[in-house]
Amino acid sequence: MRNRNAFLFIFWRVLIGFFFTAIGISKLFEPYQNLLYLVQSYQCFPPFLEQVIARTVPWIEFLLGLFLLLGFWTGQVLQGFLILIGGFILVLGQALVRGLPLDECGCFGGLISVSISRMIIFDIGLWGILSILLNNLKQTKCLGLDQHFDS
Amino acid sequence: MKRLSKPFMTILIVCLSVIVVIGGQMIFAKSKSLKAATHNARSKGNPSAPLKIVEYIDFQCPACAKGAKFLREYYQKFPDQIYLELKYFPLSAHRFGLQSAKYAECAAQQGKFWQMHDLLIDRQEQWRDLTNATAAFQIMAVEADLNIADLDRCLVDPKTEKIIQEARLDGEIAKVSSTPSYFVNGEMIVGSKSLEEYFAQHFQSKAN
Repeated sequence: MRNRNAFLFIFWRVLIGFFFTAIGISKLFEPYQNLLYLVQSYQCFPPFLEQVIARTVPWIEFLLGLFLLLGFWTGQVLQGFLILIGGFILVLGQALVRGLPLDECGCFGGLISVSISRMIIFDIGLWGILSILLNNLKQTKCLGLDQHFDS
Repeated sequence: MKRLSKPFMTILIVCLSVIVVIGGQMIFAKSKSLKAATHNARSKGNPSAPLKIVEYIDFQCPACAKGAKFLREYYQKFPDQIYLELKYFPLSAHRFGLQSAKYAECAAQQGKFWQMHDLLIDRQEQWRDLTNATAAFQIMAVEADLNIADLDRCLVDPKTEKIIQEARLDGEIAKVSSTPSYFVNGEMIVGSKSLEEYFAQHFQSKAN
């Protein structure tokens, strides 16, 4: 039973780590102007900060994702993700409250047409899973680099 | 064998990741520039103007309408300063993205592209939320003085859609994923806000 639980924690850690590594890489290989447009469409940051966010968030997602995938600095990375996704939820929430027409602005590109409310639900779910992983850090670290370096 | 320290391993992973990503970006950028091509752009202005703009547009996108109105205003003020090429980039998320592009392309084939473009942009708020916008497009076609029989033939001609999809493919090759996207003298700018900022800087530096 305990082994099965540990497997579940490892599974979620690897899955979320892989997801963010892939998302980060795909954004890094896109022109940053596409992400800048998305950030601008939330209409809640000053121009300077919009530039900073568009240039740094893909790197943060990629590196945190990679570290989570490898199970390296797992506790710190999970805390980082909780802050990052908490930030996403706040930004999306204010867009929802203000009724910004994000899903029809063309800023998500042609392939994805996701409503803000669905994205918030997804992010809240993700935030919940990450919290559970952080609360069960010992199992989450299993088969990760942390186990090797902290032993 | 000596065991690596955790901080050293951290630096190693970060450095390797950065090198791999930046190397990949450079290779990717090189292959992209080899593939870029130009199909079926609709253009206006002075071809030797200092600002050469390629615009990727979806006529149903509100930000595209804003950007197009902004560009039109600047074009009227500085006609010799701007050369504009417009390319279709209908988003699949937009119900009338392709249909509106077809009307614009068919107008182009009758030499009335910009009249139809302006009508589609100026009246976008009236047609973008309709269940069926065909009647609205037909009224605009009449106002643009199009030959309706030729228009109807053109709308069902597979070549029309092919022209639009080729323009869209050009955009995809150039890594366009959102609308409106602009290439101003080769520099990518996405969204009307960034375009306004670019123009403000450009014309301010010219004024000084």
